[in-house]
Amino acid sequence: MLPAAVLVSAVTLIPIGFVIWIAFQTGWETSIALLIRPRIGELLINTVLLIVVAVPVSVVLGVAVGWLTERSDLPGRRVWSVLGAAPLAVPAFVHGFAWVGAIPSLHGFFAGALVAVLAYFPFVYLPTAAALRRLDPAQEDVAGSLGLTPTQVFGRVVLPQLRLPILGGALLIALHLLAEYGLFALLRFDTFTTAIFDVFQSSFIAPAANMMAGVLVLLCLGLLTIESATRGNARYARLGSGTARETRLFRLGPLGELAGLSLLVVLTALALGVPFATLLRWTVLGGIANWRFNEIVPVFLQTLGLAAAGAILTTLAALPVAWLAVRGRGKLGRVLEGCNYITGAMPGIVIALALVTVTIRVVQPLYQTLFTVLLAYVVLFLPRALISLRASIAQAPPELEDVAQSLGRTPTRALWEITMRLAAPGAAAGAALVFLAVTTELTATLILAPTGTRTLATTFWSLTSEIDFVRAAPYAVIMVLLSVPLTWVLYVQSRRVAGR
Amino acid sequence: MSGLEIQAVSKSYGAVRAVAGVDLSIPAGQHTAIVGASGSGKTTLLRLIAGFEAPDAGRIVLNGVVLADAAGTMVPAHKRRVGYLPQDGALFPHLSVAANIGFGLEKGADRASRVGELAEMVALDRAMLARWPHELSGGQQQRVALARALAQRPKLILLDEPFSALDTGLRAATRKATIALLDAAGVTALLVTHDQAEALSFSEQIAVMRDGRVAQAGAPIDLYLRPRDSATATFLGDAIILPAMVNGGWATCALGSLAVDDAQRTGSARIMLRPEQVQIAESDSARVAGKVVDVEFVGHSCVLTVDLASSNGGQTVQVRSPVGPAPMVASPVRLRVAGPAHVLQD
Repeated sequence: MLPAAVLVSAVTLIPIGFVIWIAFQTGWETSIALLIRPRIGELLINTVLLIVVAVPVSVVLGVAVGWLTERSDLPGRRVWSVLGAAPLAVPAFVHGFAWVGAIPSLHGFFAGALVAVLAYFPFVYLPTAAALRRLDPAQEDVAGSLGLTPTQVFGRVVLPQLRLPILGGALLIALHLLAEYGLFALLRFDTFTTAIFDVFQSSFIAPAANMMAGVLVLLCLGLLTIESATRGNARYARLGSGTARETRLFRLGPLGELAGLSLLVVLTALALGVPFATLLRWTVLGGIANWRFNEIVPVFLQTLGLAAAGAILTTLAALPVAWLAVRGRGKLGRVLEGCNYITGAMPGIVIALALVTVTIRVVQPLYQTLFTVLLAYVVLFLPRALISLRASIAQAPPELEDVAQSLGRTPTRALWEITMRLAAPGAAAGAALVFLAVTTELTATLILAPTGTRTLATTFWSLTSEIDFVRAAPYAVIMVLLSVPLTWVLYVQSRRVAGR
Repeated sequence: MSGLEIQAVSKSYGAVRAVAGVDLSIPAGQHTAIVGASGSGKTTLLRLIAGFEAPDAGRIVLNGVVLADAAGTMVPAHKRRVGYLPQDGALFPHLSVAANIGFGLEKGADRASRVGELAEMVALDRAMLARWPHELSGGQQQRVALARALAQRPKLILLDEPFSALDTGLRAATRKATIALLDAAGVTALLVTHDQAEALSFSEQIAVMRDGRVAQAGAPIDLYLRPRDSATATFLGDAIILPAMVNGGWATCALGSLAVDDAQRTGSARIMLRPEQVQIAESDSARVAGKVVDVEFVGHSCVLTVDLASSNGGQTVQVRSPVGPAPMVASPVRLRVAGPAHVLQD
């Protein structure tokens, strides 16, 4: 297990190693010359501005929707709580496609920020809603009995306890903003990721692209540091035993109800209505003849094949790391696990660039092979498999393996027959998450896939680039339909955390 | 010899010596209980015997076969035929009761009948065999775990606080049933527990562990009445420990002059009495006088705290008095001591 875990972690460190190696290789003077340029400054301003605007807006929206659906007596709360998570079923670049389809002139910073907020605010909404459901209402009662008004209670008791889910969601959104290519390319807003992609397409592995990748990695690491520094060591567990009482709902009153409903209606119209209306429009325009099954079916099958292979490989790679993180004594397990999470925060473009460089320079025969693109999926999506696998291994008590050994099973057989058998549902859930992530993966697939590979995302992308929106629409519809189960799983999981 | 032999076994985790040179032997077919506070090394010792961990030093021999020694012999757990019953039974949640019991059995025609026999042996209804572990009560789970451990006819069975998850009434009943079963199977058994009553009633021999060492081992009654030191004395039950001057089999202490079980010892020492040796005397002929300073009603008896008059205040003893009209606080009482006091080594 240990050598396997070390090997997996070493492979996932390739992107970071690549950036460091590039920095040394290029040398100080060239690096500085490449970095101190108006273009880099412009990209930096764009990217930082995007984070500074889109993240807080998403947080406000996410918390508002979470509070309205969990803690207020808004009519139709259950329906709204599902609709709040639903935008996740639409891949970000399909959001972009829908908006450009609806308003062709849409472009630039505000368009990018608006669509990004609509695509990503559920990342804050889901964990915040889960935390709100978990809060013990007795704390709020106590605060009220100590003389605080309901508004003060929210500010001084509820909001501070939402810090962790809000921070986690904000980090996730910021990392997505750094990594997203399709959405911003469609809305013609330049970020580091789109710029790297452009350079890569025009001049392949150029020092300029590598340097920008380095800056992107630094931005990611900066975000991770900020998040872990602000998270601190605080733990907001409920003290004491017994089950929490049912939450009391806040009475909005007619005015509040009107305001809450308007917010949710507008938000849903923008985040779900626009994509669905556009997709519907293109689909109707194209008619049944537009569903060229002789083209779509091979692409669909190829996507499923890649996704299945990626899911299985990623789960297998996550296995030793997860096992070591749970059962291993001491720091090594935690360090290895940490490595994988850092890599998980790296944008797909950096991972793709690193693998291109490594395959070209070191193992040429592997360049643009199935192996390399699958390796990219493993590196990109390992954390998703790791989280559910880790949780399910942790639920299998080690005593069970001891007992199996005392009953004559070798340690390896005990591990497989007992712990792995018990972890199987978690492994399957993790594999499903990876599977669905691969079906909508665009950036790394575009760069790394062998010539002739056509996935739903890449085919959609090439048709979109040819402005053939009608022919692209079926692929977008299939991707959305495939993503619905994933979104449902995320929604149900966030509710189960709350213990209901 | 047959049975379990543990010789000078040690095990460290980093700088912590969890087990520090333990010697212990259990004759074949007998039961031994290891008691100790948490962190005393008793669970580590059990894991060393089971083969889940390798000792740093020492030898473990079962029925003449070396299981582990300093020369590098290390029979892995799955080849030891040592049964293991952990705290909450640790049934496999993904297997039915029948599959749990049959887990260690060879797949074959007679497996089902053997599982049935084992279920009968632990008084488990055959209808239970098709159920899942989570559908059983705690006591039933424990019996399934016992049947599972006995299935492969182990030479030794290790019980790691197997009754602690059960509630009080069930615990005693399950313990009795387990002892009867182990006796019937003639299997050597080692029980680890932090419950002294459980240890005293379980076995022919108990070993008190402290700081990774066996502080004292022997028959339960010997350890209870003649513990080597005050720590063992108080660990195994309530004890009255008094400073005394000992000479020629007699001790002079706050309770007057008492017979002691050590005729050789002279000079100052500490002596121990169990609370049941001290009683409230009805007649005035008892010599020791005192004054009640506290009365605590605990159900089956009253615990009186008596300040001994001869000690010029300060020396109190706790005395159990049967339920009834107990003496009031501040009333004078006389005490009688039954049986000899025990002289402690420390």
